[in-house]
Amino acid sequence: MNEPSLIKGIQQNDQHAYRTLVENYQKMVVNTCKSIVYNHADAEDIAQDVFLEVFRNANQFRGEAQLSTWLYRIAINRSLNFVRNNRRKRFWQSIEDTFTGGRNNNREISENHNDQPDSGITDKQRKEILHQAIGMIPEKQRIAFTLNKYEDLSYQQIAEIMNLSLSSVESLIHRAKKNLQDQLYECYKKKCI
Amino acid sequence: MSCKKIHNNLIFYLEGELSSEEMQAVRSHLDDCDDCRRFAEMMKQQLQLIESEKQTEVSPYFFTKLSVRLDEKYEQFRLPAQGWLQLTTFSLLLIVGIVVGIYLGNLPYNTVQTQSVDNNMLLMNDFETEPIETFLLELQ
Repeated sequence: MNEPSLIKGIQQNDQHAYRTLVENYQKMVVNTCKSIVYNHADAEDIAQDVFLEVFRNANQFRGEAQLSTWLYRIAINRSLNFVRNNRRKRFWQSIEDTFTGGRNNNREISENHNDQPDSGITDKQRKEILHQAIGMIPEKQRIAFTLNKYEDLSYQQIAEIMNLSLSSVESLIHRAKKNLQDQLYECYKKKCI
Repeated sequence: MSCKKIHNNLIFYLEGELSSEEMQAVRSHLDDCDDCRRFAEMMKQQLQLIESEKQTEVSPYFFTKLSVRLDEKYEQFRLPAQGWLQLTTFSLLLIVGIVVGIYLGNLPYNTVQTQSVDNNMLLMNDFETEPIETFLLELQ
């Protein structure tokens, strides 16, 4: 099934088209979400929301961009919203902990590693440090960097997804790498590993 | 090349994005500087972690779960319509109830009530024809 007929099928609520779309793009969408939220279960939940949004708004898709570009955009927006909500929750949680004596301090950390029960502690620590360092990079830089490193997308594809010029994407990724290096150097100086 | 300059360019060295002269300069610095070499090693390991995180297997039940949620979504879309229907029916029944109540209240009920009140009044007036004193004397 080619892209236009796939879109047409989805617009007509064709179950076969739904299944084809999900089978073709589920890995890409889950990967994108996971590269932003760093948790497999959360990434799958967000990916499901992405497909539901696509099914619901299929009539608005005009075919000006590729289907994958549209999916990337929705996946990125939903993942960023998830991260922002999580940050807000953690902020209120920290306030609550201040008043309740910090009973729930370790809950989120343990939840974050639920999907990797067999990985060693050093690997976990390293990943956590990497995620924290990437998390410190400004949002646009982080998205461009993530799409490039985790999704292996070309600068041109990233420019289309982020609706930016090629030179802007080059600049974003260059600055993202510098920022990541600075964050990791801070960590190295503190002997965090 | 100074350590500071190395720290500024290390990630680009590891990614192979420097010119051949710069690559050579960084390489020779790393050969001589333990601290920079250790940092380069740490950064290399961190960047390799990204590669290891790329491989993601999606749950085999992904589409099944999505189908369930899709059905739920359709239920949610239908619910507001059902809600409006229920509200309209309830409102109509309420209006009909009020109108019927007013109609019944205005016509036959008032007539019956007036008659019964008049009868009571007549019974009350019987006391005038037979005073209570007479009634009590008869009882004795």
